[in-house]
Amino acid sequence: METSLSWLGRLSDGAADDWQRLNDLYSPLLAGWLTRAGVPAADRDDIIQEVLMVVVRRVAEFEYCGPGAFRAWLRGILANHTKKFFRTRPIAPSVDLDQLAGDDTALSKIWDREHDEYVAARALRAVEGDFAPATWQAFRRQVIDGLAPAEVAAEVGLSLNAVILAKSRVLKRLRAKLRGLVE
Amino acid sequence: MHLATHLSDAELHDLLLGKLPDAAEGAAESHLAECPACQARAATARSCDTFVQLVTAAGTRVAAARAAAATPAPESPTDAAATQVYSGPPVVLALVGAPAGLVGHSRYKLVRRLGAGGMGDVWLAEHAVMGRPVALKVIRPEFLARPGAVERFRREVRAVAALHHPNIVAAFDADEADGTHFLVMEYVPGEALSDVVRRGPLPVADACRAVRDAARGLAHAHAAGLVHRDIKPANLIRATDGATKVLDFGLVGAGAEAVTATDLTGANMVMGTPDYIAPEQATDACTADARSDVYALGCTLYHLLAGRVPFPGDSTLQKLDAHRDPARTPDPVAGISAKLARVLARMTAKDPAARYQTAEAAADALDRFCVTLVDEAQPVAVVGAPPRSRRRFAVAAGLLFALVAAAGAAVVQHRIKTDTGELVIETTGDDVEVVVKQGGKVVEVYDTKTKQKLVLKSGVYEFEVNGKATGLTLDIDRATLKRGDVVVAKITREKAPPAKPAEIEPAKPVRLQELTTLKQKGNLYHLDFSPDGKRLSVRGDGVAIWNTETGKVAKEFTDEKVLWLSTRGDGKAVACYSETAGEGWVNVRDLVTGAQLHRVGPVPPRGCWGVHFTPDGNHLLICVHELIYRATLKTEAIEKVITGPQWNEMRFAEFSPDGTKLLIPDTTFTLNGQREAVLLVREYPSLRVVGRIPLPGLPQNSVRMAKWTRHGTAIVGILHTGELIGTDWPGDKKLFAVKAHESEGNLAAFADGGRFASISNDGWLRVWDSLTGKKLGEVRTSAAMWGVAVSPDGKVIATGATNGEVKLWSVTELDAPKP
Repeated sequence: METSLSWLGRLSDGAADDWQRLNDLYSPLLAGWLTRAGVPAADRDDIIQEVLMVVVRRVAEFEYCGPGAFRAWLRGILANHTKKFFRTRPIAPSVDLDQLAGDDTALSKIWDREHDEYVAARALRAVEGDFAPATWQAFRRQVIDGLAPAEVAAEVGLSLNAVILAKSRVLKRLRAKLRGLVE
Repeated sequence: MHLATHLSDAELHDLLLGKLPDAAEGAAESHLAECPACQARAATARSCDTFVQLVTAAGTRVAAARAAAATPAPESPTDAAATQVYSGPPVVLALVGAPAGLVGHSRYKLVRRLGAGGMGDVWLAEHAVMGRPVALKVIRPEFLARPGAVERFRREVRAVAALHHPNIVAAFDADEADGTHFLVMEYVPGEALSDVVRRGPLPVADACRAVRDAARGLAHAHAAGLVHRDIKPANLIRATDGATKVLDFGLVGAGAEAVTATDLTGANMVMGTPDYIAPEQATDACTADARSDVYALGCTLYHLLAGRVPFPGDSTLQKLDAHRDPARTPDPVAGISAKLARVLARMTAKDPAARYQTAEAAADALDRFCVTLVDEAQPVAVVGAPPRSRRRFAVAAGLLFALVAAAGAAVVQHRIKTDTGELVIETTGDDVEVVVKQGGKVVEVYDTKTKQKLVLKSGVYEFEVNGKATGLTLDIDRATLKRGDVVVAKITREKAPPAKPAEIEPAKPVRLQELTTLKQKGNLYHLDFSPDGKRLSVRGDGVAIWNTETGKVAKEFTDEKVLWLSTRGDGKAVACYSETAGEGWVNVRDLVTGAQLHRVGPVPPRGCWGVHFTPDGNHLLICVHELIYRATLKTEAIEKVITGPQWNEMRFAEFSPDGTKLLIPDTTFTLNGQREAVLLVREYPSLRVVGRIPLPGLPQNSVRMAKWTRHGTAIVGILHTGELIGTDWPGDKKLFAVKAHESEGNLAAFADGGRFASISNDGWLRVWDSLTGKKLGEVRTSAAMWGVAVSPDGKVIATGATNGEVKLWSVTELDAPKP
């Protein structure tokens, strides 16, 4: 998985695997929000396609102004297309889509947090294979399970230095992977 | 020496958080490695920032998801892995319209609203202690306003809660919180049949199966003395495992008394939905019994089969009158057998005494229509009596109709070829236009004036008379076309002689010898022989058309990066799929000149699996991820015709040799939520499902390619593991399963029907007997291969390798070794 902004920049070139990557990355997140909004299962995929097509078409116009700009932009497109969908149906959305579209609302903050967590989780899964299992475990036990470096060193059987560097290197890799996408 | 200067606090902090710039990192790491003091500082530093907090939160989610995946649980709304839907933690803030009593309920945690019903909203919730998902049906206060109504509601729900049946959605409890009454029910992931039928009529077997399941559930409830009173498609849920369950038992009975008789709309809402209500129930709601449910179920079946309700009308009162009027019967359903039509008529008889007396009897009557038999598709009304003999497998049974014009007038002739005969329609003059319909869809006809031709397959046709002609009646029984009393035309039906497939010679062993090697750029996924075998289209980085006799490139198109191609049946055009600017387009080019003939699109560039000319050459099927689009070349119009299950990759769409059937991959859900591969056979052009070959234990998308063999009477598929599976068609009898290759590959069938060829990235080309799966010959090349094609005469095989080599192999039959 590649999540950096450079890849988003390339999207407008129309390469198929970049589209696939965008689709793979964002479909589950969008599907989750559409489900929550009360969109019937049969219509979710169509809306996801519409939203992602807009992203591809207009990514060139998208102005990057700091971390969080992309997720806010995506949120706006999602909210608008979902609103459009409900205008054509006799059912009402089960979340307040105006709140989702607005900046600095309770719902938009939930979106921001979930988006970041979700993208970070994808990045975690993606980079895991790039590290030796012991390095990964040393990182995981410190950052995710909150253990102290000395405890981890004893548990994993690495030197204290190696344990400290494991955390440093994995975090560095994750930062590179997620640059520009999360705050 | 690195030890000279210790790391500053800021440097250490940045290093620990992975934030140190590359330039400074190397020196800092080297120092740390040799400085126990700095290591000690690092080991106790509490370095954290928002990014690390985010990673911690995300990592916790990943760990939880993995733990959940390791212990399979029934599909729950938060099971992100199984459904590919990412659901964050329940967002209580965002729940609009959540009933006050249920927000922050001690036992049930609201997740989201599932839908709205006549009696109130339905919410998905999680049992706080048990953790299992449940559905909460919130009852609107007006339904329980009368004194004693709440008690009756609870009593009724308890009776329903005593029902345990696989075809009934279980009710667990009725509860109340802050004045909000709600029913706690089993949560069944799936789709209401009302949503399913909104997409169009269901295949006969599907519809019958759903209604039979519901009838079984009803029978169980009836035996316990409970009548549903509001059976309709919206109250039948098809679970993801395919079983249909009845929803909302007892609610109507509980609520009916609460509504005053003067409130007509309200009363209708609770006493049954006017589209499905039994006549006796429409007259007096108290008289409803088990047979009223049978009637409503019959109306539901009608809706599923016809795609419309029995009495489409404007007002509720008109509908109620139609149900009550003994003289009114619904319009016949096209495309069902006379036998099924009789079952349907009996379920929906106006007189309760004339119906099936129990739901069980109705279920039994429907049972035999629940398997996909081709003769379900035999015509009923228009062509008179159904054929006498039951031909289970007679998909290709051609029926020859001739509509013979009566004396006089100039004759306009339309000819429609079916696979085994011709349908000839002759009409008098230009004031009569005959439109042939198939499965409710208008299909174009052949017109001798404009030389437009369309080849159709056999199936159910309806005739409709349009145009300036007035006062025409079509006498269904005698199949004559009249104007007033004058017979204008007659329809005669003759059985065309069944097309006999050529005899399949017992397959002999073959010797494969390399003839020539052609070099091409790029990965060669695609090879296609022209019908005369003299041209071979190859998709590399561009498209090259090779002359197989001279070994020279006859034509090359390099102006677009073609991802998939398909050669038209007449060998005169090639369709090239390519992607530009975020869109997928197909250019149809003249195979000789390279000139662009048509351009169709766009389709989303989300993973194309191929383009395929239809047998008539007038349309293209474009497979995009789980979708199939059909493009009409003449108009360059494009429509989405098949939406497969989520994540189902349409890796192939293979027409049977006679062009009447389409073989595509499909997915089914097992009881424990796994996605398994299925091969689906659809009629073409109706796209109606006529066969389904389950592949138990094989995961979704595991069939990489499948082909028709033995002249369309068998199917062979190659799996992701390199295994070959052969199956009889129709009949679903397993013919063979052999490990053919080390890894996945591709297939091509010989036109003689008896053999097929397989290749793989393991470098082997092999030829097999299509009946037994016996290996007939093999040869090894040095390169991984992806493309394979067999010449129409079966004497040459072309293979394409990932190193850009196209090889032609001669196929020489050897005498079978003496036993």
